[in-house]
Amino acid sequence: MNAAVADPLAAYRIETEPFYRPAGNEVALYRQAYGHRMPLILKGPTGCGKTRFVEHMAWSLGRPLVTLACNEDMTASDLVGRYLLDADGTAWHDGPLTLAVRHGAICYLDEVVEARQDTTVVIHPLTDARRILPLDKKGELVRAHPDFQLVVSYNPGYQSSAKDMKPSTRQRFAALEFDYPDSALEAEIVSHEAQVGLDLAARLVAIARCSRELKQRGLDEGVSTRMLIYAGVLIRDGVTPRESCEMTMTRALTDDPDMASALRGFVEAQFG
Amino acid sequence: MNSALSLLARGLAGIDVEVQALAGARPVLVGKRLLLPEDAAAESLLRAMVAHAVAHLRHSTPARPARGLKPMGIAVASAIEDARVEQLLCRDFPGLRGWFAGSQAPAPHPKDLGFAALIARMDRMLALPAWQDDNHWVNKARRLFDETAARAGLEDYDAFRAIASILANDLGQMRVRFEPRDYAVPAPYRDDNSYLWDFGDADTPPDDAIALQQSGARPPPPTDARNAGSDDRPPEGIDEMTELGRFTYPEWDRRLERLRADWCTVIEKLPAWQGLRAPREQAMAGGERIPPPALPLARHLDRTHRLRRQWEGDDVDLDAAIEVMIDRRARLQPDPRLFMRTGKGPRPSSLLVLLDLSASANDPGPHGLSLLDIEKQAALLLSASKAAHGIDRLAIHGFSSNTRAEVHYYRLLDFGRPPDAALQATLAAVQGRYSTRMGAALRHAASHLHGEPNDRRAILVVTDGAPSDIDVHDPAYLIEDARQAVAEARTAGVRVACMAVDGVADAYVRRIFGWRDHGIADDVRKLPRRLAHMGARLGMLRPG
Repeated sequence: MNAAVADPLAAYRIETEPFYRPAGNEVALYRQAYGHRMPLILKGPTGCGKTRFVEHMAWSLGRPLVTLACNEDMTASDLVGRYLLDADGTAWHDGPLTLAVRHGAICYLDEVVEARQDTTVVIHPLTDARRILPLDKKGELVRAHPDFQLVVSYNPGYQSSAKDMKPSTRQRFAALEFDYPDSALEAEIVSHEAQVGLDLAARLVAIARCSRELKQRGLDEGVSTRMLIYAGVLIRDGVTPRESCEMTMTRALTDDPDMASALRGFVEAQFG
Repeated sequence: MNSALSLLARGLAGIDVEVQALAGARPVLVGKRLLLPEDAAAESLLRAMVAHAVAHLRHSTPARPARGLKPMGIAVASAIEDARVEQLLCRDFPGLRGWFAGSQAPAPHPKDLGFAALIARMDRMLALPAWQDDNHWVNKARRLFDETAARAGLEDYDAFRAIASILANDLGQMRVRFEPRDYAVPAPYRDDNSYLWDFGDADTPPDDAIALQQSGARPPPPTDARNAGSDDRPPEGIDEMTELGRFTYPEWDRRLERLRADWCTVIEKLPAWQGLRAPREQAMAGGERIPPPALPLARHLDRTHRLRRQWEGDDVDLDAAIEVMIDRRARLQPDPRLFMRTGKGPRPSSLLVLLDLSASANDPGPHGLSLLDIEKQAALLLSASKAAHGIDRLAIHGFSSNTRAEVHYYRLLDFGRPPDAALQATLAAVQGRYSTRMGAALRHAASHLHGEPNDRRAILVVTDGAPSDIDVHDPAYLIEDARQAVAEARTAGVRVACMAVDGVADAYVRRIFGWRDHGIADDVRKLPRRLAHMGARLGMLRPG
């Protein structure tokens, strides 16, 4: 690398502290795992703060964070890189994973089960003692930078998807389990993020708690912390609580009229 | 019953509440079952009923001994308790104040100093902060209530019980007459408070709710199977004639922690539909029919079927094309497979729906329809619309068991057979009998799926209760066996899921099927729709 591209990961650095309120000792555990560069799975329902947590940790460890949202059409090339054509012929372009491996970033594969299993096997040699990434098309063996760490997230709650991780992939990771924080903490988070009063935030959280009771009874997932923040933001802007909850929670979560009516009941139970 | 109310109750209470309809005008709370009047008109009143019941479930201690209390004392203590738990609930759900306030009994005439009128005035006084009343006793009630709430806190049941005694005593001194037979709780949304009291065995107030069928709990297993089946047994000879084969399966013994070889005998039978007319069927014909739910058409997810790097196709596969160009520049032999096309996935899906045909499925639900009737309707519905749900091949089987020697297994619809009139006749003739030995039936069902030529295979079990049989006395035994059978099927590449029609199924269904592969339909009438959705999900899955 010459001086012109001194920091190929500059765009991936996090400058300001992302807000994260720990619910337990996950920060200390993450630091321990990072100390050994141990690959991690973050498990938990949608919108409970997994991505925010990784951002926060990357910031506090001073490492760049390369995030990849996985999808079904993603190929191994999308991760490791490919040859592209340019005026002079063909040139190799590192993929995001290779970039992180080469230069020592935290690589975060969001919703890793969405990627096909044959795609995710490329991470196998990176996640054991070898810590290498073979680029077979290029004929190169990239040894991981000492600061490189792989983190994946995984939402076990979707009943709809048969997707699951291969045991051989899964076994390579240590796991941290996330859930929605307890009421008081969640209210504090909503209050901070949406910049609304604690009392309003607590009411929103109470609605979410009720909706989470209906999991497996017609809802795949209850109202997430993120949805509460959306609702709080709209209320702060002057939208009535009922309308903002209708928009950010009821309509967003369900199409079933009975379920919608029950969710509206929870909203009315808080806001009259 | 309106399933929105059931969901509302579940969410507010945080525990399973069964909401059922009841003839009459008043709600009744029995254990964790809330019986709502089926012809109560206003939605807002029904909601207030649910909220009030939730207040009891969350904050009242049920079945306190009523011994030594006079009927009037019980009525006053109940009214105070109603107000106390409502205020406690309103602390968590401030919006409920409006629900309760809007559903109070109309204000009695100011000259009416009867017991019911005084209680109604006290209810208004405690529920509506702005309400004014000129009656001394009513004002005293509010003063005592507010003082107690401030001093002891709303959680202190005993403190409120004490003021109830004072107030009841005052009423006695005021010579207010109390006729237990004529008195009903004034607020129309409140239950009769039988939930709060234990009247002992001698003078239990007659309660039509108690006579209702206990759903979720199975009837006690009869000691003699022959006895039990005597009234719904088909004429002798039919059983033997229609037997198709016997299969033996192992069973998991949770104490030994191993499989007992050849422990259960599954007897496959042709459902005897010729000339056999069951009394149930006539009942079904007269009963309510559920309108077929509007089913969303399942989308075949194209992206799962996008076939890349094909010899021919509708589109150029860009990745492949770039590689061809690269190879040409590099003077290598390019791979000519650079097209892509969308196509049907190479592997069609097979779904086997396994119906629980045990005797408990005959129990009529609150709508006059038994689970069995609804299972049949749901099965027909699913078979008629399977193509719309991405299910290519569908089979409908059923089972019931009478000890390990006799696990009856009915193939109502086989794979590859069109759903025709014969299926309807067969289904109509099926009766619910005996018990639920789920493990053996699951193993047999899985063996049918092994014969399916593809590997997107799933079993969907529909049941109304935990596995049980009359020769097993350990309730966990058959649950563990079923769990083992599910694990075996999954190892063999068969996905197994369950739809339970039992509000309290959480514990065992999750134990058997894992926490992801189950759904609970609180309301039996939701079953067809839930089943169709679950079937569609299983049908569309990628092989795991």
